Amino acid sequence: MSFPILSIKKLNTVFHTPSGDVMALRNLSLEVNKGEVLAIVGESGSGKSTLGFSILRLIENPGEIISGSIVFHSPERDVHILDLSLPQLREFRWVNISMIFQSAMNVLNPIARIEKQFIDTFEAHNIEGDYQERINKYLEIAGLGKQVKKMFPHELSGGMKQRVNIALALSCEPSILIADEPTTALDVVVQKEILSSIMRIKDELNLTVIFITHDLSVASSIADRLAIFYAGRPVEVGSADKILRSPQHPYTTLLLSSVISLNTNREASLKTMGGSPPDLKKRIPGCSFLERCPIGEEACSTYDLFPAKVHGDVFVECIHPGKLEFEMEVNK
Amino acid sequence: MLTGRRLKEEKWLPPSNEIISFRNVDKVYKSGHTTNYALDSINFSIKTGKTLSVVGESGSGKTTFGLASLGLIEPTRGKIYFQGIDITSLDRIQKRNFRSKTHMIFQDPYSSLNPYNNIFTTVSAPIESFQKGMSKEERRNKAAEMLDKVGLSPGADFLDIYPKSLSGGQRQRVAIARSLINKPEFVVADEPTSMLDVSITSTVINLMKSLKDELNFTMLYISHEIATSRYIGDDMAVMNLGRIVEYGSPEEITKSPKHPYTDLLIRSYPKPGQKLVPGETRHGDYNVYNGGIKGCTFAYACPFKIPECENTKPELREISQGHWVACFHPIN
Amino acid sequence: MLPEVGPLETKTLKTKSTTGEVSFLRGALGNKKFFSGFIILLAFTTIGIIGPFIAPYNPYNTSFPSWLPPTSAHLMGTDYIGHDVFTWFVIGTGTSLFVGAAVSLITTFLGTAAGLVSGYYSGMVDNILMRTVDVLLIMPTFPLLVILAVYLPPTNTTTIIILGVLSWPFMSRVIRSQVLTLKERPFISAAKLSGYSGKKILFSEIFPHLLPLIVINAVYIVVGAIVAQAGLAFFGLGNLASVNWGTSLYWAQSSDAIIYNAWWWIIPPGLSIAIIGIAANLFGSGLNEYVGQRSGEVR
Repeated sequence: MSFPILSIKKLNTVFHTPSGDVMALRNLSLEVNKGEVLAIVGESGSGKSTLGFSILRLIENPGEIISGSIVFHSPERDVHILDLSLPQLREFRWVNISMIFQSAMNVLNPIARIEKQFIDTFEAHNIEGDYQERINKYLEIAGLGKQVKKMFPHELSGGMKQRVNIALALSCEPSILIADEPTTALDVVVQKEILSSIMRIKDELNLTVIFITHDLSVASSIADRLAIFYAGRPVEVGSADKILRSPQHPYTTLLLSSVISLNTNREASLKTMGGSPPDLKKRIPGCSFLERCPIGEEACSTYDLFPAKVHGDVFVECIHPGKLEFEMEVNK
Repeated sequence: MLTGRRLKEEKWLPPSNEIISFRNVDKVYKSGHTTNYALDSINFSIKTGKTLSVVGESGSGKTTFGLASLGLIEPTRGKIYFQGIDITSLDRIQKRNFRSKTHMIFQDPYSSLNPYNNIFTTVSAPIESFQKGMSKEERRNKAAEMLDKVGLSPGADFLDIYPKSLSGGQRQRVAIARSLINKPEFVVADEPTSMLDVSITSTVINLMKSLKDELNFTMLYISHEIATSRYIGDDMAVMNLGRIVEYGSPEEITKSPKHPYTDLLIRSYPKPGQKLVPGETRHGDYNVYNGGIKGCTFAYACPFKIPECENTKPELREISQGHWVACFHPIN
Repeated sequence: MLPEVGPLETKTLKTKSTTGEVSFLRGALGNKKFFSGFIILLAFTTIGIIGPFIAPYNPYNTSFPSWLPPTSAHLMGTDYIGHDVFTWFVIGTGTSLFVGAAVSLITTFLGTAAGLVSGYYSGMVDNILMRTVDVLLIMPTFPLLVILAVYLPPTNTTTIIILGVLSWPFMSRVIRSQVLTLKERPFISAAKLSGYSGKKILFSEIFPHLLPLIVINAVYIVVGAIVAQAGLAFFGLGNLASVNWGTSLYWAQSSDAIIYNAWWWIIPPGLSIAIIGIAANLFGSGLNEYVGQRSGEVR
């Protein structure tokens, strides 16, 4: 039986822009179970990265978390992340939840040796003990040799830099790792290596991983559960196997159908999804996907965003889940 | 055919069904002590009227290949022929003629459109330059017609707006309209969908495929994405570190790759709905690449390496009807 | 597991109205710094233009008593030989601004042209222009200015030409570096492929991107020239017969206005120079901020 390690309730994050407030996360609720890989899949503007940043309270001006709660359930006590004071937050971050980013290059300090960057991290979080031993351990876990310690970031390839970031993110022994598009800037071969590493590490360290990506193929190759994001909310959440086999929300269905794979029929034209996501500056009544939905009806415009439970553990925010037929040769 | 001065020293005449021919082309970048072969003695042709997909990782030289075929990059050595004329030494009239027959679709639809120009100015630029007799009214009609064709309809409504009010997908459609308005014979598309969302990618690919059938030009489609390349290409070439290592029909290459590098690429490609099995990595990394490699570019990581691979350069050879590979021991 | 989710609460959100398209100037005026800089510059320009019409007396009329403190007849009092200081101030504002604007015009033209050409056409032209710029940049400008002013005829035109010719190199550097970045952008390649000539790319594709930068620099140069002219006049160089802020300060200093405690004579030109300097900085950095924001929104 799985139990939650992170509970997010009614979270609202907005970005104040000159032309209005963009509601990046709209009353979002989500739970992350201990020891799982939860992949958050969405297109640009769906709020997937905003969620990652909100969990660690890295949202900066003009963004603002205006309401909601994020609770981290550690074995000892529950930590309400949004209520932490700044010093408490500094102590909490990285030691309990850490994060790796898409742009591996911009995260590392270009003029400090890798070793120094580890030591700075340890000192910032009051970690004691044998630093060298600890650095070696985490470099090895991330699949790097000891010699990397003495190198500068520019001496490393993109994949190696991302590995260093993983090692850094794990070095304070967090329970949750948030990976925000960690392989998007990398080539496929390196991408596969990094994904394999994350999976291996996860088992080794009993880690919970929140994997944020725009790529359904990548998500399905690593995730236990999927959360499909659309317009600032998860529209379908549940076991990856079930969702990939029989998607219930029309958006998930269309998204899955528009994935181009090595089995796509070259003679037929590709399946597409018309329209574009709704303007998040305006209040969206009912289902946010209605405008693009091929099976939308009038009732959808007043639907009050209540997730329906199907298949036991899949939650779908749609009044007629599974109605849009799914036909695709994805699993071949 | 290009009109203008014929060069005296021109001895080699490419076959008439090849629109672009590379003869022994090198492009070398030097910085400090490092020498990089972005193109390493390329001998290759693009067939008239077909779509050639070029697949490769970053640093494979695929973009350089595209830019060189448009004369935007001067090769360090060798000659590039467009319909039999060497484009590395064109006179003014020839150059104008060549330009009027070629265009390009860029990766980033945000920086490939000038934010200060309205859509009419942007789309009609090629006919403004090459069809001097045309009145502004005619150009407006033509541009509107072209915008209709790329799915921005009614095209006339888009003429006077600026790129900032368009989405990424719409911008890419504008870029496609600009590249095709003067009915070019050869178009290079450099990762045209890599900045777009999944749901928009398939729409843009469909659009390019149908426009190609309608307007009948030759397309060079450059991408790191093997599935899209397979879908859109009539032929496919795989590049690695400045060389073309495999060439043939997309179906055959993706089903039974002959070069170990192609095989690695395909095995690394995440497949939707299929969980990753950790393990299996390439040994060695890019930083080893530094200047002209004597043998095979993949020798450093090839599991089937024989001593010959290190010292002798494998040339592209036809191992079965229409399937070319540069390897001494192709996979069976 | 998804717990219950209620309807979206929006009462805490304050959504500003969407304004849609805003013209560049109106948008920029929304920036506080730009707005205040713009208003101050506009006020000085207005004084400069209408100065000759609102001046109550002839600036060369010396029939008034000397050292008069401000009264209703003489808003800013009179000077050591009985000039009306207010008349000098309003007319002087015009002269100073005219010299500044004229210098700025020359500099902007030379600097932009040199920057565009050397940035876009690399090679020989670039080399020659940039070496010239190097030479001009390492020369200490003010001493050179002083020496030239001593040997050349003391007229406003001379001052304008000397300042104009000496201050373009810096501007051309700024423009050149901007052109160098711009010409690597894909839309320039697209323009090339569309058959645009080098000249057309330079003027219709690259130039519009430079406009804010050119305007900012032009305003800085206006102020720089006003200060330089005042500096020359203060040392008794240039055209001392001209009525401007610099000559006002020169005469005040040489006739010991400080000893006579004639603050009404010193403060108007002195403070004006300081204020216009601040205004130019507000204008420039405000415009910069706005352009940055705007291009951020363009993306």
